[in-house]
Amino acid sequence: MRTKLAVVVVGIGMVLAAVPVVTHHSFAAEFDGNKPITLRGTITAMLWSNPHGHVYIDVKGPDGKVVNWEIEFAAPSALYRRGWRKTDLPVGVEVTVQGFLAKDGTPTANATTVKLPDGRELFAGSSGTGAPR
Amino acid sequence: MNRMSVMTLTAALALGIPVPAPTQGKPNFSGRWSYNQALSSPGTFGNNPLVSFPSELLIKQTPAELHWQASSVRQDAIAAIFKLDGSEVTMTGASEMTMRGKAILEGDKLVITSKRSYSSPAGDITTDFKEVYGVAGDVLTIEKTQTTGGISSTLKAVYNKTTS
Repeated sequence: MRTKLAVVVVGIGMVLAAVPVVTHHSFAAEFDGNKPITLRGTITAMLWSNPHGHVYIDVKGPDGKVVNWEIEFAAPSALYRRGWRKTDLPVGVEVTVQGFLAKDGTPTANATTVKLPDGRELFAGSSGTGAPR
Repeated sequence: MNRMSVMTLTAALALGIPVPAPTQGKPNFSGRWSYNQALSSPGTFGNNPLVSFPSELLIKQTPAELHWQASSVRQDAIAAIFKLDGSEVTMTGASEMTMRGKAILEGDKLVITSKRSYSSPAGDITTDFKEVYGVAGDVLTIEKTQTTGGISSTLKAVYNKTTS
């Protein structure tokens, strides 16, 4: 009985260990501070998630091909303090994002600001980003 | 200038020996400079920077050149040997980037302008930078303007000298 229990406990542990975890990471670990980027595109999804919020936008490249970019923000709690609400970035809205490209060269960027069609500019960062406190 | 120096300079001039141009009065930016977050604008460092500044600058200035290196933790360091006549040079260090820049002394300021390009999934991206350096004792101030995709942002950062 004890052996069976131990096997079950170890098995559950292995299953839990295999579940992917979205980790918190620093800017320097994932993004290239030498590569600023400005993207103009249409929102396809918004994830109000921890430890980083994400928005996905379709960006048309110079060759006309549309690429879906993943844009990373600060945590939702930080965005909320900056005045963001979930409804600020609905699907279909065109936005201009300023940020920095991911080091791995994928269509991923860290956002500093997001400009909305009505002219509002939202600060996407956590502390020390120039956002109003 | 002591008596020996005056005599040496006089002799050199009399014999037609070239004498280095005097650097007195020109600002000297030489030193190892460390970023001071407390005195710098928000948005110059850390997560989600608006304009990214290096955490450390290493500068060696001669009458004709400026040996310059900018580095940050877990980021590629960028280096250049600028001619202080303002001629354009190639900057090195950042992976998969083409970087050209020039430096010139304007009064008590050092102005470094550069154009940096790289390929991304959104096509080729080019960013123009203008950095205006001012030095007062052991404090270096940099006002940096970054223009990419038609959008410009300017922020100021402060550095403290750690070694000369």
